[in-house]
Amino acid sequence: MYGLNKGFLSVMVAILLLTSLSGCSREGPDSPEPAKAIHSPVMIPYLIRNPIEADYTERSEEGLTERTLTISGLRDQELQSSINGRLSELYQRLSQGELPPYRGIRQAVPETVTPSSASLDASLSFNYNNVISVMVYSNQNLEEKGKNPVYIGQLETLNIDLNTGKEILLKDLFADDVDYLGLLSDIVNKRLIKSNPMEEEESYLDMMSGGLRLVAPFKGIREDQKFALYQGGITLIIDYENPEFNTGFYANSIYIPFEELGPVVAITERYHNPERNLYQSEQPLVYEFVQTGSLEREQKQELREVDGIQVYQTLSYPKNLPQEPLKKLQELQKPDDQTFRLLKEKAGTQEEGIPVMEQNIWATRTGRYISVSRNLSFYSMNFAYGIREDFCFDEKGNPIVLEDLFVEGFEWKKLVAAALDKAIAQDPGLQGEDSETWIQDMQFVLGLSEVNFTTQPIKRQDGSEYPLYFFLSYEEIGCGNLRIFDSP
Amino acid sequence: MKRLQYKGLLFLLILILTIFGAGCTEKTPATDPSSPPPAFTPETYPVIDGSTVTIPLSEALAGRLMDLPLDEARQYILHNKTHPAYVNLIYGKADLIFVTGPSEEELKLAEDQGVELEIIPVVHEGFVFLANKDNPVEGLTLEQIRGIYTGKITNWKEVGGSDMPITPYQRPVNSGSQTGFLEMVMKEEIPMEPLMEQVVAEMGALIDAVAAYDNEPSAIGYSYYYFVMDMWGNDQIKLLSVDGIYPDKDTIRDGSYPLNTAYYAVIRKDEPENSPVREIIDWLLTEEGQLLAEEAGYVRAK
Repeated sequence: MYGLNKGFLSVMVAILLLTSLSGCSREGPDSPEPAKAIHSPVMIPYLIRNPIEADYTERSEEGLTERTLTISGLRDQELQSSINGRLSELYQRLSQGELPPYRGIRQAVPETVTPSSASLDASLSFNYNNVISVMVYSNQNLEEKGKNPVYIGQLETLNIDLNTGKEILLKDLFADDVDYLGLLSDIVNKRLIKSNPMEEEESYLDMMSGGLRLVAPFKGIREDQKFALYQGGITLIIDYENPEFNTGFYANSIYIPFEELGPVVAITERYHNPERNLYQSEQPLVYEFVQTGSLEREQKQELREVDGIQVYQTLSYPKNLPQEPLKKLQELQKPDDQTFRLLKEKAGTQEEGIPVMEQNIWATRTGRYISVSRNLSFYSMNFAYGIREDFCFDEKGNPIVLEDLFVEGFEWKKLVAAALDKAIAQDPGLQGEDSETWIQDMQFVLGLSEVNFTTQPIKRQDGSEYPLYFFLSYEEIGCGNLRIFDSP
Repeated sequence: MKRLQYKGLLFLLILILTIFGAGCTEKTPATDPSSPPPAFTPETYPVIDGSTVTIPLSEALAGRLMDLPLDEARQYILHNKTHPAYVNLIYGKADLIFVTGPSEEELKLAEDQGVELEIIPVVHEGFVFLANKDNPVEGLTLEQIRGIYTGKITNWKEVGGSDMPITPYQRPVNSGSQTGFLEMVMKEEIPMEPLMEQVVAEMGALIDAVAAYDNEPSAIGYSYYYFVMDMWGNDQIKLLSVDGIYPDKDTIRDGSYPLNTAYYAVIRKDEPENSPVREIIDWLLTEEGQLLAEEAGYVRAK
């Protein structure tokens, strides 16, 4: 009898320990897999698009609109069903109309009140490197007779590793040697300080800084912080699980670009495996550069007058640019008063008031490339004029030309000419134009997923004159034909 | 011996149940059986309103008095900010408010409505000055602070520090902190124009805004003690003594720190004896109530 009791108790103790320890964490891996430790620095030179489809289903009934998604295109059908099953569970949970546990919600909304309208909207915010992020917005509008309606918003996310179908935790995004909680907390704290979050009244500027309000000191980001991925970064979802924040009855979010986090995000090393194709598609892989360049920018704006023309000029570029792109930026900033006067003449005297021109000069980083651009635009009632200049440099600041983008032997000229022909055909003001005339002086810059081309200004039939813009996606070109992507 | 092992296992089981049975909910402090707090249900709990800064106090109190986990009690607490809370109390839409002191406008409104307010400090608060942790200056006098913010003192060496220009940060006009700064610190003196910085607004336009404290080595700024003490990154800042008194829980509580204020429980004076809100305030001022406030991050008043 004693032996039985002892054994029984030991089993109970073990079960309790196992179940209790799983406690507050989100659903994690079913069984830990041996994985090699990943050490920083780790870069994301570019992202590899998952060749899966997001299949959307829309439903609209009285008072309820719903858009949900499932995925298709995985080879492992069982895994795909399991992922779709989890998405379906999430939609179901959010559709039940339960009040999310926001601060004060039970005082604002009596239990007897039911939603007069509700909506649910799912979207795939990230679909790269064998990882997906699904964000599901749920909104309820509750109206009690004689009272103002109460709007309640909820945002739930599901981040899935397509290799295994397991949910990704915040820590999984980072190299193993990184204090990711400290890093995220520092960034969030810095943002908070800028928006005066402890002040009760929120100013317009505070709203512009993110609109985050605190009711208690921010003590740091926790391991189970809700998040989703975007093409260029991580978004932290701030809601009832962050009670130090005052979000009202809505979820707020804090977007942190990968570049702000530094070389610590390990989503390529941890999830992408070039040796294994998880997908039904046998098409070549498609790459995209990661959004960068929003941080540490020099910015200026000025309004000046040239012979009665108001010229509004903006300048924006990332700090720490190499010498050549910087020189180009300075060159472009030199007053182009001659052009302004010429435009004033062209516009004639039909303008009422003071003619206004806008000149924007900027530089961006795309992968390891730098683009410097100038855009001058002038509009009147019946006249439009625009100039665009684009310059592309490599990471060392050496100017590059179009053919530098392509692997040797690739027939890129035909492809570009065909794209230009198509763009001319689609522009009603350019009937009869010949692509040969314009392809010679054409300029280009690199986008996240495409090469963007600009011609010299082309005179339209109505007298306006501005460039033609068109692009070729990396997918159309074929990433294997491009030299701009390093191996991940 | 066998009996002892059996008891040991039982004890372990109970211990595990106790530790892990609490699951994911936040806990309110244990009740002192010698002074039982008044008990409520969500249906009987008075309507309590207040300032944003007193929300954690209100939530901790609600959790204790309704015997609910904090994350559940929180759902019954709705503070409408300071001024609306006063208005709600005066017009009888709230029974008790936890707030900063009333403004002249709020006192006038109460008078116009024939309502007498009873204002009881329940926790204390300090207005504190911050500097970088590596700044050798440990404290300033109020006179020196006024000198810095009127532009008469411009270098840390003038107040015993390194030869380094002072970068004095202020807060946006009409914010609670700026109002506190003007009333408690500057009094009759007018501060110099605040440092400004350009921030990106809508459509990428750059606009000027009051620069936020960034803890650079030359910086000085201010805040309320409640927000500074437990905030992330506070190991990089130091609080400055004022007139020789360092701001901490003891000096703020006993009033020796000179820039002292409080958060108050405010009720209508005609609230009957032994009414639920009076019971709540009485309990909040007991040792156990003050401990609860302290655990919620505030400086106790008693």
